[in-house]
Amino acid sequence: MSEDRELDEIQAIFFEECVEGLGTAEAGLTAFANGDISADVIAGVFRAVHSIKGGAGAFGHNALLTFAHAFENVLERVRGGEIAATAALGQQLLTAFDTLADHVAAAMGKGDIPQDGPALAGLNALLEGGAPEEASSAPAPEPEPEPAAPTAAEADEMGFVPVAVALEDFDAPAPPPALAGDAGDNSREGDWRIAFAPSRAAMANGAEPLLVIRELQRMGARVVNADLTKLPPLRELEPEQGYIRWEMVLDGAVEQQELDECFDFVAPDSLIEYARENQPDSGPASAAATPAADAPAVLAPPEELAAPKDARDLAPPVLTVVPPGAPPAPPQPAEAKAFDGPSQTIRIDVTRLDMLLNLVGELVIRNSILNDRLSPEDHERVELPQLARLTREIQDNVMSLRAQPIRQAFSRVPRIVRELCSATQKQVNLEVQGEGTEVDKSVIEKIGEPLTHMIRNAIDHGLESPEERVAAGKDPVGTVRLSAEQKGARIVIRVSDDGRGIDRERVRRKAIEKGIVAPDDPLSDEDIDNLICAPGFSTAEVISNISGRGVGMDVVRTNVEALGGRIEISSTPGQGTSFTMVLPLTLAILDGMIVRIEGQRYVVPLAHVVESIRPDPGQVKALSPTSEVIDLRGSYVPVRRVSDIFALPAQERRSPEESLVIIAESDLAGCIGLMVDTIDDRRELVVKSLDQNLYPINGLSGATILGDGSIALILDIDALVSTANSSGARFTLKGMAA
Amino acid sequence: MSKLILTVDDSASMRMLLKVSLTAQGYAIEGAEDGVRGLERMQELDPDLLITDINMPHMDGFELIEAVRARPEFRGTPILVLSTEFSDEKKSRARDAGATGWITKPFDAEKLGAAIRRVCP
Repeated sequence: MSEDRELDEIQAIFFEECVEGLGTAEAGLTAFANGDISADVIAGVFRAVHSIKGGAGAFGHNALLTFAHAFENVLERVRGGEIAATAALGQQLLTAFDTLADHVAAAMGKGDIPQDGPALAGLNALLEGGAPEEASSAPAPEPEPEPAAPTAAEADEMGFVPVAVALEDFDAPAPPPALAGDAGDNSREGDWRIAFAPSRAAMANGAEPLLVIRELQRMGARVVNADLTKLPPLRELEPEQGYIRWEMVLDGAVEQQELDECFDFVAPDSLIEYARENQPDSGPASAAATPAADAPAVLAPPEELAAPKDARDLAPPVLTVVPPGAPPAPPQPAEAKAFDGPSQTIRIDVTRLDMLLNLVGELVIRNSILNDRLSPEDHERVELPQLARLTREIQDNVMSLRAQPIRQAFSRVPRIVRELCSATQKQVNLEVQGEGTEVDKSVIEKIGEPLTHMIRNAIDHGLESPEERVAAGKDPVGTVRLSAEQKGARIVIRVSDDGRGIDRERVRRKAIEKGIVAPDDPLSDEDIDNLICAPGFSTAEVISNISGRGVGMDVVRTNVEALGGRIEISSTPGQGTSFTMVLPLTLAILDGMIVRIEGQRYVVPLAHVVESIRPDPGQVKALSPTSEVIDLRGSYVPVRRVSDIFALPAQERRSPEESLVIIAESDLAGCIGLMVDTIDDRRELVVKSLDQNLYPINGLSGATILGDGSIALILDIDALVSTANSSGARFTLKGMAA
Repeated sequence: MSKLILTVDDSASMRMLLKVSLTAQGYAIEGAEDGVRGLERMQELDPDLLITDINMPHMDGFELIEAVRARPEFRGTPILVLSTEFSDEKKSRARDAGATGWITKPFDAEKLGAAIRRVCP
């Protein structure tokens, strides 16, 4: 049972490799289709598909194996220059790639095995069309290694045996050809008589003929004679050469294949003869064991057997005989160069990285505790600045361990675009930038879905049909740009199209119809654009198959906000729309403003802070004993006293003029003014989760440990703003941040 | 003392599969993920047998075998190739480079064991 589990684990790793391999292959093929046809690119794709095939065989995913095998064959010939590498071929291979990806998904249990008939036929057509040399030498060109690997899957062979023999043995359980004639006598096979004379080179390459003899003995063979006539005097004896001819007898119940395998690694110029004796019908013993009636006899001396081209083959000469009519092996690439693959890697469980990150976080905290407690002289004495720098470097390095290029999330996009193009009959040119931007793994895992939706939205709703585009004087091929860049501690992911832009009149009508806004609400263009992300809004009159699915952009917004990010929309009628996701690079470190209220310290995430104000007398107005607003250049923003929110015991109620008001903005629900006593500091903080120890507390998103060892709670601005707004009028201050 | 086998394959799952199959047969297994690392590990470990893949980044199986054979101390170390490829041309190249034998993936654990016994006492 534990072995099963072990195998499951290995298979899980294989699937990870598959996903990586698919990414490599797709990137390579995309480059290929765009005209970047270098040997390295092709070699990379080949190796990726090759590895998928290898594992598919090992884990018994036969459909995947068969398809990967055909794919690999085509790639091998492209690599060898037998199939011309053109951009059009790249395009064709990309289509086949999609089927390969589906096969992998099916193997992983995420979907059905795809109908790969047409794709497979396409690959095979390439194979047949792409090997002219073979076509000329053999009238019915048979893609040479074709059936062997696929059929090998469920069989238990290792394929030592050269293809010609192996296939017959594995594919059809029928008796070997040579024995077919005397099927009636098969019940009792004659014993094997074996002669084996290791050659002069018998021990080259680390081979050891003695082990072959031992293996034969293990199978039941008995040595009946050792011919020592060629043994030289001791003085002349070369210890690494073979001089003895061994003769053995072996029980006839042993299959020929077992014998074949035994001699598989024997040096090619050794003498190997074996045949059954006492065959009733077949006269001389030698004939009976001939692997194929028309192939040279097994017992023939090796010199006669080794066809010139096979002379140095690894397999023993008796088995390398190619049946007449079979095509010669295809020409191989002159030199398989060292591949430029990815750098060396090891795999580490993410939980272990998280543990490390957590510990480094503690180290950072200890460091700032030392910083706070030691006098400046002591700082120098213990070289605290150096320790701090080192700690910071460790922290950065550990963070970067979790960081991965966003390419992983982007890699799905080309396929989505291809599928949408064929579904919508639109022509799209996808431009991707900044895929090397590194983001924390947790972020990569979660942006896949929003990203997919944004791409779908851009193609389905944003871009016009080719006819409309031409009518509008545009290139019939639309452009969708996908970019990622790092800005400070945030990552900005943008999907933009050059389509028709948002039809604001229509969006407004729809929003009114759905009761999202009132008919007389004054709405800026930006407000209207943002309505697309409002809950319950979908402009598609008929929910389309593509971007519809009943999931609107509001879900995208919710997902992004759950990651601590926000979405921005901008659109120019007739010129296009762009959706921008702004996400934190990591969820573990926060830029925060440390504020003090009634002697306690809290953290306001800096990303939410718009400005901080020391109010003038009369700027903060009380609407009721519990609600106040601040007059901010003519607009009113609700003000909450943090001491009220958390019911802190206050000596006396401070007047607003003695306090500070921090204007914080939430993408969800607008702005709020937080009244605090003072601002202490601004620094990067290590976020500690509260939910391991406490039930979720509304208004708090976590905690951090400050330099003096005390704990500060992190305010959840989104929650605070919605609570503030739910009790009073709804305020929006769009554009104020700018 | 169990025999030590070094397996060189760029696929971690293949290395693990080999490890599980061969550990069960009493071998001690070490792994490396490409030819460059494989050569380093050869020198560190001096294993009883080397099993290597062909298609690998940085240094492929052929180059690894040649590099291993170029060192006098490994002249007699058996080397098996374990690859999904099986063309005669590749096999003969492997033999020229100094491989002892060739096994085609996917492999069967029992037969792999038998193959190992034929090259590794």
